[in-house]
Formats: sequence, structure tokens, C-alpha cells
Amino acid sequence: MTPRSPFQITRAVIFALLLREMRTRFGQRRMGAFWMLAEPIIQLIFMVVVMGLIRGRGPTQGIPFPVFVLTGVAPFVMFRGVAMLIMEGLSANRGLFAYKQLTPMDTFVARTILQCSIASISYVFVLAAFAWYGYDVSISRPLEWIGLLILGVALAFGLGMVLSVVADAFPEIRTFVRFFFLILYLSSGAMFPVTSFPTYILPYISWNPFLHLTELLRQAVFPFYRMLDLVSFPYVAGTMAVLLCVGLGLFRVRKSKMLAIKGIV
Amino acid sequence: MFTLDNVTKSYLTTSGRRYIFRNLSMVVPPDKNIALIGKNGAGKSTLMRLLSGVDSPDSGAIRTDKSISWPVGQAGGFQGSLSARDNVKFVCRVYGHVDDDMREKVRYVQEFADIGSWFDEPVRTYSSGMRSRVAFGLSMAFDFDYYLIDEVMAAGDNSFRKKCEEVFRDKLGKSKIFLTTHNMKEVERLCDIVLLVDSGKLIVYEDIAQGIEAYRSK
Repeated sequence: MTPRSPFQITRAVIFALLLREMRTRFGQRRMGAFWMLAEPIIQLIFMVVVMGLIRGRGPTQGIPFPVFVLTGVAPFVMFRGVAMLIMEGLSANRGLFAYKQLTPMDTFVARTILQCSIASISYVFVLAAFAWYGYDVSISRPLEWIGLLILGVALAFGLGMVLSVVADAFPEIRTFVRFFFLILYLSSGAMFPVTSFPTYILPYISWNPFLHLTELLRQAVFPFYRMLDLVSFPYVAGTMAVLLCVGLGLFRVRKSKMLAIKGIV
Repeated sequence: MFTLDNVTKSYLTTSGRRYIFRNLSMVVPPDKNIALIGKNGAGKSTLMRLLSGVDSPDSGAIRTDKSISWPVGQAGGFQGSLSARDNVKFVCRVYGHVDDDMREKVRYVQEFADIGSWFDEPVRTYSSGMRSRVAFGLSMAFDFDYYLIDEVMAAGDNSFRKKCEEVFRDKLGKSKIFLTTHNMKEVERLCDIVLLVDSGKLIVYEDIAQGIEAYRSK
């Protein structure tokens, strides 16, 4: 066998992992392929409908409420999925590191690709359903929108890396991570506009990069969207850069410790 | 050749940290069939895991210029909800065997495991015997310089064991083994040198009989 280049090995391993993770999700229940897509779609629609019923009010800035919610919730759910899957990536694939070509980073990348693909496809389906129902779902600046989504995925990747290192060192923290994401979710303005919060909270939740990201995304989708004044693109880009650097750096330092089997944890 | 350089490995237990190896350095001579023997709990399996890369040491490094298998017959890498076929395909892809090459390997494992239509059922539904048949077949489908074997010979029924021995004799022509066992007959039959693990130390015996003697006297 001719030796493969590092790139060829990585590509082959990521492809193998992608197929494996996908088949695993297919195989866990009957009609797995259907549910893999249907589940996020139903979640999104459910979220939008329930929020609409609870709020029971008219359009925000002239945007129908379901469309408004969808443009925030769908990206956030994708970002959260990426971060959570990366955090669990090591422990879920521990048995696989017996195959030397396979490194933890491969599992992170494969999981990110899979999560983004599933989220994108289900988003397209929901958009199609909305369009069929009669909503205007056009995106006014698609390139900017896609760029922001990529930025968000990079941010989530960095966050996931940091969390995976932290969760490895202090496994007890896992309990709080869900809670932490719930706070991020509620304060991201994805489900309802943050303008409905009391004003004195705004300075605190302006730390949440996902709030900035959600607002920026909405601005890219709707032609005449007025963002909150506090939104800053440099803040999101900076957070992304810092999280990514810290996450990758920590991971490089802790890698062999993280791969070690620790007895009880 | 294996080089262990200042390897320390410990596990955390409820009663504190337990060191298996502390600052262990040694060189294992090249091109030998190696037997790893020692009492239960001496650290044989830990050393095996470290060599295979499943586990990594707290500090220090383990180097080799040979290709080493994953622990032969280990089913740890199997995804329970996937069929044996999908699991085998996964390993083939990771090792860069695609298309015809992959089909050939899958056929080999299928024939070797000989578990009929169960081959396409999820691995979690297998009996432990079936699982080790697939796992062993999978290890034999790939060529390595060294095969790491952790008391696998005990698995399976008589006919399967005979089949394993046959394949093994075949493999031994080209490859070497790194065997963990309590069966001294196997050591005498298969190995060229003995590594005795005892209280965190590794002692190399170039003479098999001497090594076995040292093990028995413990």
C-alpha cells in the first residue's frame, strides 16, 4: 500500500466518520432517515407556533412573527448543536482512538459538518413550508447572511472546543452547560425581541455574542430591519477569534490528558 | 522496536491516585515475538493500551517505527447500533481501503466470522462470542508489523479457535506479535522474548525459560 498524505488520511477519516455518524442516527429507530430530518423540522415549527400562540401578537417591525422567530431560532439551534456535539465528541468516540489515523479533531470536524448539513436542510424545508403558507421568506442580502452563519459556526466551534476541555477537566460542569445554553438562548433575542426585557438588563445581555449575531442575521434577512443600538460586528468577530484561539490552544495543551482513560471521573 | 521514554501512568480511584508505571524507560528489541506476562493487576493491559494508543500516558512518550494493530479482538470500537458490515466498512475507510479493496476485506471478515445473516444485524444484538468472531476477523483482515493480542485465544468455541490458530500461523510469517497471556505454553510456542511486568517495572528476558521461571517464582 502506498503511504497516504496527511490530507488524504484526514479526508478519508472524516468521510468515514460522517457516514458512521449518519448511519448511527439512521439506525437508531425505524424510519431513521426520515426522523433525522423531521425532528429538527418539527422542533422548529413547534417552537415558532408555540411562541406565536404565547405572544399572540402582531408583526414585529412589520415582520410576521413566525418569520421573525424562525430567522433567530434556526441559526441559534444550529450553533448550539455544533457546540454541544463537539463538547461530547471525545467521550462519544473514545473507543475509536484505537485506530491511529483517527484524531479527536476529526471527530469534531465530522460532527460540525453533519450538524450544519442537517440544520441547513431542515431550515430549507421549513422555509419552503412557510413560503407555501404565504409568508415572504426571501433573504435580502444572502451573501452577508451566509457569511454571518459561517462566522457563527466558527464561534460555536471555538465555544465547543473550550467546553470540551473544561468538561474533561471538570466533568461536573456538564450539568450547568445546558443551563448556560438556555440563558444564552433566552437572552439571544432568537425567540422574542430583547426589547421586551427591562432596560436595565440590556447591558448584561449585551455580553451574549449570540444576541449580536441574531440581530445581524435578521438585518441581513429583512431589508428594513432596525437593529438594537448595542449590536457590534467587531464584538462577534473578536469573540469568535478569542474562543477559537483559546479553544484550539487549550486543546493542544490538554490533548494527551484528554485522550487518557482516567479511571473514575 | 519500541522505545518507552520516562512513561508515567496513573489512574484516579475513589481512594486516590494509583500509579501503574512511574518513570518507566526501556527499549524493546526489534523483530521479536514478545510475550508480556505478569500477575493480574500488574499493568499488562495498561501497557498494551498505551502501546496501541488507545490510552495515553500522564507523561513521557512511547515511540515505534512499526505499524501496530489495535488490540486484536477488541470490540470497543464497534458502534452497537451499526451492523458488523458497516463497522468493518468504517475501519476499511479509516485505513484507506476503498472500492474493491474494501469489498474484499468485508468478504474476508464475513467468511472468517461465519455468523451467517447476523452479519447485517446491529452489533449490540450479538452474543459475546459472535462479537469476538467479527472483531478477530477484522484484525486479521489488515496487515500490521505487530499484532497486539490480549488473551484473545481464549474466546470462541473449538472450531473457531482452530481457525484462529491457522490464520495466526500464516500471519506470523510476515508479522510479529505482542502477546499478553497467562498460558505459558503459548508463550513457549509463539514468542521469542519475555517481558515480565512486576510492580511498575518491566524486565526483559531474552531467554524464554528464564522469564517463565521468574514469573512462576513470583
